Amino acid sequence: MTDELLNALQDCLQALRQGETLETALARYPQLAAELRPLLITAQLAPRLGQVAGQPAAPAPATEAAHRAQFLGRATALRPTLRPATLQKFPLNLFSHLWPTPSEATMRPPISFAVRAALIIGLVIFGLVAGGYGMASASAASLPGDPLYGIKRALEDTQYFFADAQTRTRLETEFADRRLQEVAAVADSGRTELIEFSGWVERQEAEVWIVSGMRVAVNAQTVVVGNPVVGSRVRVVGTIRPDRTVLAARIVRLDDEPPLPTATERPPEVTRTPGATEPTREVTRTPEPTRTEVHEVTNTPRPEPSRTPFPEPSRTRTPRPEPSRTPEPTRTRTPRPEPSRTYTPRPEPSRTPVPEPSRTPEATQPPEPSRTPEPTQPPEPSRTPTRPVEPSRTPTAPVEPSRTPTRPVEPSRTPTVPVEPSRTPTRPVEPSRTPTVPVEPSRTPTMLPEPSRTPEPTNTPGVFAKRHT
Amino acid sequence: MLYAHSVSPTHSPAAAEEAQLLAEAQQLAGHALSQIHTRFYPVLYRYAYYRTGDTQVAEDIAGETLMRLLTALHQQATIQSLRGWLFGVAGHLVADHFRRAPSERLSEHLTAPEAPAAEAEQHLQAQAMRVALQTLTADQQAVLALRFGDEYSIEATAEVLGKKPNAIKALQFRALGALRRALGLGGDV
Repeated sequence: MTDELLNALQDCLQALRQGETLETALARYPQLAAELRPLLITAQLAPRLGQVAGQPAAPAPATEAAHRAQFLGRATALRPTLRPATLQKFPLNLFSHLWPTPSEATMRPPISFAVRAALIIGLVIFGLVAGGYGMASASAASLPGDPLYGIKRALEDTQYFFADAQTRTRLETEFADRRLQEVAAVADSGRTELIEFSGWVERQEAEVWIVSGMRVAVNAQTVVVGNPVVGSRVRVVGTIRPDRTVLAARIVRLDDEPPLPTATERPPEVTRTPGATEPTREVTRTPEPTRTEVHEVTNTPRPEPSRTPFPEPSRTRTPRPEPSRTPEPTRTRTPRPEPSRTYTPRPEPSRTPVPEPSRTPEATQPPEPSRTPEPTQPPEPSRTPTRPVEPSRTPTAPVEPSRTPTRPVEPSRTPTVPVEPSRTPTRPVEPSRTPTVPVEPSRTPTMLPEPSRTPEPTNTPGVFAKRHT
Repeated sequence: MLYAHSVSPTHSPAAAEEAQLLAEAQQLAGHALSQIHTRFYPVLYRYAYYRTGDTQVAEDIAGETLMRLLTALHQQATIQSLRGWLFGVAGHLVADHFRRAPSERLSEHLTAPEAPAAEAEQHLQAQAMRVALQTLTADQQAVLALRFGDEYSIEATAEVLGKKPNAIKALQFRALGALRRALGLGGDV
């Protein structure tokens, strides 16, 4: 067994692999052919050991996905307490799987938060009363597209809803793994379904990405948010096709991004908002508070909240300055108090706070524009249901007591508030509201006298003070 | 050239990429681990299947190998080559598997399939080969699995098995000869 023989064998194997016939391969080594021939024949049989029914053996995708989930779950458990910031966003998306259209507006559940909250509570009661474990287990194996799948997701949301912060962390991972397994299982079943999952971008090519082992087709219709790169954690919403490729409708980056220029300004505002609003909204928003906390702990999260809001808030804001004039209507109110109290100064300060609350909601509140109308417009009650914006004021403005007398309407609004939170997560709708704003401008003219609009921007406090003094 | 397969210490781009992956995985970074799973689960599965001929066992071995990687990373064990480490562990698990139930599983498979004649014939051939494969040394089996099950190059196989390319060529030569004899195909080698 000389080196020459070894190399000749290797050379012939290479030739066979490249499609040459046994004879042409051997023709290169006439003196060694007798020795090489039996080995090469054996070598031609050798690949069969790795084949199943003539095809190279491959693991079942569902098994592989299940193992991946287990593997990554274990990794999370082993990892020191620092969690990937990416998992902290956990939108309550009870019914998102029912939504077939990819656009942002349609991806959001059309059912209001209040209704979903009611559903959750209903499910809990059902669970308690009827010992709903049967249903839980029946739905546990359901996949996207199955009738019980909505219940499965609702139960998950319920579980999440009542979990403490630490458990939530675990649940987020668990649910994310479950989504991946579901996608693989749907792929195995050969159905075409709308699905969603989160994972890490492993490869990015022009038309196909690999996200946590899943092939994701990206085309011109795909909405990509946050500029994901290899290594980013993303949420993918799309359609799984029988060829085991997810046709992505939407890919959203979940982990940190380089902060936007505007980011520096706003983070404080964002953080305030929760604080201000929480008291009033606790019931509805419970999910959100947890996020905010997490962010603070990890630091990293902060950028995230600011990002998502940014794009949208920026839109809303630009319009806002004008809508914010709407607050001016408040001034109109101010006249009211004045008769009683002559406190021209006071009303203004009170306004100034008002703008701030509106910011806090920023992400959440495009509705602000709607407020403006409220003061001037008796119809307010009707709006109020839709736009909970007012609550935000209530917390922020201690002055209100004085107003409250003047405004019997407010109390009615506050109850309605819960609805808004649901929007906040989904945000997409906001654009549509902004359009609605145009109506207000017409009012605005009436209010124009109120140069005080300038106040609306954060500066307002200062400006006012100067003027009045 | 024909004899160009000499020892070249230059690392392939894939090796560099895997070194990077390993470095990130040592922090238990989720994205790196996810990528490792995507990349190696199927490869380990094929390797284990080639050597055991059992899909269930192959799944178990591929899975267990990766889980052990997690443990090793967590314990900050030194891992020179990710690929080498993984195949090393998978190889041990294959050996364990046969130590536990050597002939049982093979005979089980020899009688199992109720399939069309041609397929059954093919299956029997494969089983005969598998029985023959078990008579080879572990290194020889590993070389066949990598070279013919996964079409690894000589260099890649050398890296995985932690040997020099010339040693792999010699192993490949002997493995084919041994397989041929075990299959009863005759002819001296």
